[in-house]
Order: sequence, then C-alpha cells, then structure tokens
Amino acid sequence: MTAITAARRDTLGRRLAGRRDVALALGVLVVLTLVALAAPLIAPHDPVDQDLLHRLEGPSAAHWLGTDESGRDVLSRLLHGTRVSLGASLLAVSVATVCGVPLGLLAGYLGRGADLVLSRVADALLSIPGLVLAIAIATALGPSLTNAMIAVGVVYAPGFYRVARGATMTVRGQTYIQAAITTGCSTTRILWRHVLPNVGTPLIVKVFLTFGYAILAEASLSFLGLGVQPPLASWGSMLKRAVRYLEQEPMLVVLPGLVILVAVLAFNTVGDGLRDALARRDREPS
Amino acid sequence: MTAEQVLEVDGLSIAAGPVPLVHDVSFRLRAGEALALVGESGSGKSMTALALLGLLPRGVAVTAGSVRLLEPGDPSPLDLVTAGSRTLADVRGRRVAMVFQDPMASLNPSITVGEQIAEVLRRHLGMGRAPAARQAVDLLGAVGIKEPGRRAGDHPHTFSGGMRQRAVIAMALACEPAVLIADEPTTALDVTIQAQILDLLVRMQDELGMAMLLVTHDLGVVAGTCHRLAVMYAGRLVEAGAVGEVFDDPAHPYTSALLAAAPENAMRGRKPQAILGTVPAPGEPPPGCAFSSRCAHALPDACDTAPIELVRSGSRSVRCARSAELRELQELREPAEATP
Amino acid sequence: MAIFLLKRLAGAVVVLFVVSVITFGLSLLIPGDPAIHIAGEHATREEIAAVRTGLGLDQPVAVRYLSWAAAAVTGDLGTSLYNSQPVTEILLERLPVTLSLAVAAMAVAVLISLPLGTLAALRPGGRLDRVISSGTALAVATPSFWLGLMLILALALTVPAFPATGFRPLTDGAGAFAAHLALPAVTLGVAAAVEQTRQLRAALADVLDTDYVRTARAKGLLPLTVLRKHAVRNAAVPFVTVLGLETGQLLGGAVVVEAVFGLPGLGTLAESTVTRQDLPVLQGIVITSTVVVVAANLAVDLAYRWLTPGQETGVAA
Repeated sequence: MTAITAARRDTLGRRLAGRRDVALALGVLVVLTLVALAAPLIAPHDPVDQDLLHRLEGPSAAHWLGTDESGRDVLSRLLHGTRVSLGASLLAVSVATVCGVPLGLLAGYLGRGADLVLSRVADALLSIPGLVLAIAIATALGPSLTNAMIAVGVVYAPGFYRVARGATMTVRGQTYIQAAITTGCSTTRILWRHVLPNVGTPLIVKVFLTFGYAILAEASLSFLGLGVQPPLASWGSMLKRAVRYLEQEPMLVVLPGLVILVAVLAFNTVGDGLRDALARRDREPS
Repeated sequence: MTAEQVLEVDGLSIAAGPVPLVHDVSFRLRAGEALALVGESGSGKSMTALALLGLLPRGVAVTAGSVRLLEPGDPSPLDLVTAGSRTLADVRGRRVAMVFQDPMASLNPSITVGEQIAEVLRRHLGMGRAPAARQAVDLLGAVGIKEPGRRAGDHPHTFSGGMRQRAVIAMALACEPAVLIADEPTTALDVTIQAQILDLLVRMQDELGMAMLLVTHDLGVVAGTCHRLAVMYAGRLVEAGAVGEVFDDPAHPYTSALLAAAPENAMRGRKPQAILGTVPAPGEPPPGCAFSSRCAHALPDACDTAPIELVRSGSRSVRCARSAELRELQELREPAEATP
Repeated sequence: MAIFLLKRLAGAVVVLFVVSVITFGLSLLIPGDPAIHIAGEHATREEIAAVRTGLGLDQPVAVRYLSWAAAAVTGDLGTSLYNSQPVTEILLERLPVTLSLAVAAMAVAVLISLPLGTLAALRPGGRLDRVISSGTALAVATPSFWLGLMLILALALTVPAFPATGFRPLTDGAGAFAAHLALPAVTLGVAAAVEQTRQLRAALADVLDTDYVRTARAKGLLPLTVLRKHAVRNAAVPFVTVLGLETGQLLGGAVVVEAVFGLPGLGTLAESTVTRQDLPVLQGIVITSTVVVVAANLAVDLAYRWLTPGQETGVAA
C-alpha cells in the first residue's frame, strides 16, 4: 500500500514538474514562503520606520523601490506584507477547511436529514454575495485582520463542504467501506481512516485554488478598511493608502497589485496543474 | 450496367497524423446503383465515407488519392479532396448527401424538424421561408411521416428513432442529390424498423435515380438493397464484386468468414461462426496480408511477408495470395460434399 | 410548467429563510451588550434598560427573530444606528446605482466572453485557444479594484471623456450616465468575463463535436450558419447558467469597485457601515443583494426551460 502510494506520488510529481508553467508557479510559491518566513532578515529597512524628509521618492540606492507617503521603504513593506498577506490567507483557508470538511464528511456519510439541513445552509451561504457576507461578519466581529479572515473562511467553507460531501458520497458506496461498517468500525474511525484519505486529493486542489481567492479577498477587505490596522501593512492595505497618491506616485499602486497578481496566479496555476494531473492519473488504469 | 458514372474514388488513403487508417481505396458509383461498403468496426469504412464529403474528424486527413464528382456533359470533374471549403459546402446536401448512424444524435434537439429540412432547401435552392417550409412538409410526407403538416413544427425529441431517421433521410434527399452516402443508417434502430428504413432508402433511390453508398458491418442489410459489394479489412479493400456472386462464391477467406459469422446463417440451419482473433491495431500493419493472423488458410511466407496486390478479373477483384489455390481446392471439395 | 415554477419558487423561499436566519444571527456575533453600545458609553443604567426594552433585547432570541423577520417581510428592515433613517429608504436610494453597475458589467462581460469563448472553441488546443486561456488565467488573478485603479491611471487621468469618479443617474442624460459607468463596468466586467469565457469555450467545443453539428455541415450549411444556428444556441445553456451564478460574485465585486470609483451604491454604503458598525444597514444589504441573486437564478431557470425544449415532454404531453 505504501509502495503504491509512493509510486503514484512519484509519477504525479514528475507530471507536475513536467509542465513548465506549473514548475515556475511552484518556484514562485517556494520563494514567497521563504520571504514570508525570513522577512525581518532580508528586508533592508524597518517597514514601519518613517522618514518624513524622504517621502514619495522614486527608486534609489538606499530605497530600491522608493519610499511611501511617510517615507517608509516600499521594498521592506512589500516583504513584510508577504508575511501578513500569506498568513492571513492561510488563516482563512484553515477556517474554511475546519468548518467545511468535517461537516461535508458527515453530510456525505450520513445522508438523509443531516445532509438535507447542512446542504440547505450551504446553498443559502453560497447565494449571499461572498464579499458582502464577509464584510457583514467582519463588521459584526469588529474590524481586525483576524476577524476579516475568519469571515472570509466562513464564506469559503461551503465550497469545502461541497467537495468533501461529494467525494464522501462517492467513496461511501464502495465495497471496502461497506466491509468496514459490517466489521463494526465506529463512524468516526471509518471517516478518519477510510474516507478522509480518499477525499484528500480533491481537497488539496481546492486548498490551492481557495488560497488564491483568499489573497484577493484579503486585498479587497484591506482596501475597504477591514483588514490589517496601521502601521503594519499587507499588500492590500498598501494599495489602499497609495490610492491617494495615484497621480503623484503611481508605482506605489502598481507594485503591490503586481505582487498580488503574481501570487494569485501562482496558486491558481499550481491548483489547476494539480487538478489536471490528478484527472489524468484517475483516467489511467492503476 | 450502362448508366453513367457519378463518383470515382481513386487510391484514397487516410491517416490520423502518422497513423494510416485507410490505404489505397478505389471504387466507382453509377447513377441508380447501390454499392455496399462492408467491414468490421475499425476497418476504415466510415472514415472512407466521411472523407468523400470532407467531414473527417479533427486530426484525420486524406493523404493521397482523389474523389471525383462527375456530371453528365461536364468534361472536368470536381475533385472533392482538393476542393475549397466553399465549393465543398455547395456540394454537400446538394449533389452528395449523407445519412448518419445515430438518428437520435444527428438532429439538432433545439430546432424543429421541419425547419431542419427547410434550411437545406433555402441554402441550396434559394427558396423563400414559406415555400421551403411547405416543401419540408411534403418531404416528410414522402418519407412516410403521418400528419406531416403537424409534425414539421415539432422538436426531434417527440419523434421515435425510426421517425427521426425518416426525417434525416428527408433532409438528405431534399435537394435530390446525385449521390447518397448512408453510414450505418439502421444500426441504431430496432430490427423491425430497420427493414422499413432500408425499404425507404431503396424506394427513394429508385425514384430519384441516385447512386447510393451504403456503409455497413451487417451483410444481412446488403442482400436486398445493394447491387455491388466492397469488403474492407484493416483499411484496405480485400474483395469487390456483384452482391450475388460474392455471396455465392466468396473469393477472400475474410469474406467467407464474414458470411459464416452472419446471423442470417442461423436461418439456413447453420450456426453462425465467430471470427477468432482481432483486427490489427491501426499504425502497425503487418508486412503481408493483414488478415493472415486470423486466417485458416494462411501459409507462412506466402501470406505474411510481402504486400499483396488487389487482383482484378472481370467485374470482381480480390486481395489474397492464395485465392487461385483456394478456388481449386473448393472445386475439388464441393462435388464430394454434394454426394454424402 | 406551473409545477416546475412552484418548485423553484419554494426552493427560493427556503434559501431566503435560511439567509434571514443567518443575517439575523449576525447581530448575535457582536461582542458586548448591544444596548450599551447603542445607548452610548456614558448612559445611565436606566437609559440602558430603556434601550433594551425599547429594542426588545430582553426577549428570547427566537421571539426577536420572528418579530424582525415579520417586519422584514413587510419591507421594514429597521433604522440605521448612525442617522436613524429607515434602512429600506437608504437601500432604495442606493440600489439603482449598484444594479446599473451590475447590469452594465454583465453586458461588458458578455461582449468580451462571447467572441473570445467562441474563438477559443473553434480550435481547442490551438494557438488562439492557448492565448485566450492565458489571458483568462491572468484576468482571474487580477484584483478587480487594482484593475480599476490601473484604468484610472491609464485613461481617466489622460482622457477627459472618462471621469475617474462619481455617478450620474440616467435622468441626467444617457451620455453622462454611460461615461461615468464605463470604467467601473469594464473593471467589474473583466472579472465576470473569465468564467463566462471558460464555460462558453468548453460548452461550444463540446457542441461543435456533436453529430448534429456534423449533420448541419453535411447539409452544406456555411460555417457561420452552423455556428450561429446550430451550435451557439445549444451551448447557451451552460453559459446562461454561469450568468446566473455570477450575479453574486458581481454584487460582491461591486462593493470594491464602487469604492474605487466613488459610486454611491450599496458597496460604498457597506464600506461606510464598516467604521460605524451600523448592523441594521448591513443586514439590509445582505438581504437585498441575496434577493437579487435568488431572483437572477430563478430567471436563469426559466431561460433554461426555454433553451431546452426537450425537457418539456413530461409536462406538455
């Protein structure tokens, strides 16, 4: 069993790396993760250090990407923003997973009443415009980055619920699950040991794609003032502040936007590549 | 047979990229004549039929040969292989029409049956909307749809399989084409309906004096409908001739095997015999006869080393290295069988 | 048909009921005592108690939900905590702006996705298809408000025809209305066009592969007729479904885009409530936008029935 899994992973890995765009996107994700972890070490300046004598300056030897409206180093703020933005997205994806997956497993496994009620709630949540719901929840909880990303997580939870539910319903009909039930395994044990490993792959794809959306959502909420509070900065909050200087110093708006674009593109590309590779693997006889 | 030729297929070869599917197929069609193109699935018969009208699927193309469409009095026949897309579109449905296998799938589900017939008339004959609609109703009546005036306004899903195929035939015959290609027209239908559709095709062919190419895997379909027969195996013609002659005296072991496998044999008190083995996969043709690996009469060296030519004698042709030998053997054995 | 309609309506009512419970539940999320919050920090105990009974906060949650929902059904969504204006009145002021933006953005999206999706479907895997799919991947990764800012940077600050911000109602003249709506609609429309393009490409490529399209070609119909008459209509079903599903995304995206361009719609209203913690107004926005989404999906269901006559046999026969 372990050998088979290892062999499968091996070919999957090779297929993923075989696509040049996916390999590049994976590289981008590795770099972003390293930057997020090592931001204080590699940033040339303190990201909150103000220098009012050098406001809104263009690139120079001291400030490679220039300074913002308070004279803070843009490069250092972008590097530290990576940590804030990725951390916030990770929080949102975790909340979505923790809320959506167990309920999806239960609904898919138990069916009937539990499924009916949970699926209606998921339908309802999905018919509320996502960002409106996120704003409403975040506002009710009080404006902070953590609350905003919990709200985003709740918004994305129905998506995880549906993936987990669908995959569980497929797995549930298989003979080995029926066998496990007849041998008297407890429901929790069956879900944990037999069902979860089989719904894992579609969930991994979902995680990557949602991570991309979460970065966009963080940026949107920060732009509306619901995200990170000053003086800390995420990519989105840097954009918000820079808008006032759009005419004077457009680069302050262009740069964080480009960073967001690249990060989201990388997550989406890896997610799509993973999905294609898995679809191809499933089509071939194993 | 004095009627003029309307279609000449010469040396037609078809390939999907590097993989050859059909190799060097030639045949002629005369006005009023029906030719059956027979073979198992994968023999290349349907690809041949699609190639005649330039309807090959994406990635499949004609690599050699010609498909000449002749018209009485026209000294320069039109080659459909090299014709431009506009010319081809003018020929399709006007001079050469096609009926496909699955009548459930070959009608557009969201357009009324009458409109799907009328649009051919408008396209090729320049008819106005109202006259075309009236003509479509007449055509539906002619192919045996009851209450055609009412049914013309219905969508295909309200038609049964047999009625849909009738509608598809009405569509194909709307402009009275010179050639009709029918690709497995009855395969998807119930047995009881099959005979009705075949009768309809034969009747319409007679009335319009069309040439018909009937593509089928079912020899039972061929008997009452076609004059001549061409058998394909692994992308090549292996035998051709008049239906009666070939049925009575098949020259290629594959044709014999097909006849022995036909369910109709059961009615003559014989058990249908399956052909053992499988058709070789396209792309890896054996050096000699493609059927040799399944043939009861195959001899090493004689059959499986060098390509075997299609040998013509009179109105018949056969592609078998041992056809002369086998004929002698057959003649020796037959008197013995006749006196038990 | 009538049974089908009733079923869909019943489904919509269930969704709206659950949404109303969720929306009401938002007020329970607020940390601390809402009465103190409303009465103000320096209020006396009696004042707080008066607010509590006045708002019915001393009642059980279920009772409070019922009275809130009963009022909401009659169009009474409470009053703003900020300026005591009835929420419904505020919403009705703002809704036309957001709806104008959403409809215009949808039009832009369809104008983008129809040609692109069709071109991509003609030769799946071809060069044009690959270019278009790269384009959609890029567009889906672009924050829409940032795209709006880039448009302002590139156009509004250089071409005076496109004002950077503000809104003019249609009653001020179609020209001013369109000019103020153009950039926001493009910003929002690009995002919506992505999924439409992908869906149309997939659906159309499938349809172009069907037997009936081959039949249409075998009849000698010209390529454009085949595409227009035989393919696009049948590919429209998944396309229209996406249009419905996108309504929610569009209304959500409108919030940020309105903020960028200073349009006085539901989005900027939502933005302003964030700092004021004006929950009744937010609840009103949630309910209103969900009603729009549910209505759009009902419309799509009807369009679906119209596009696929094959499904009607059971009812008609």
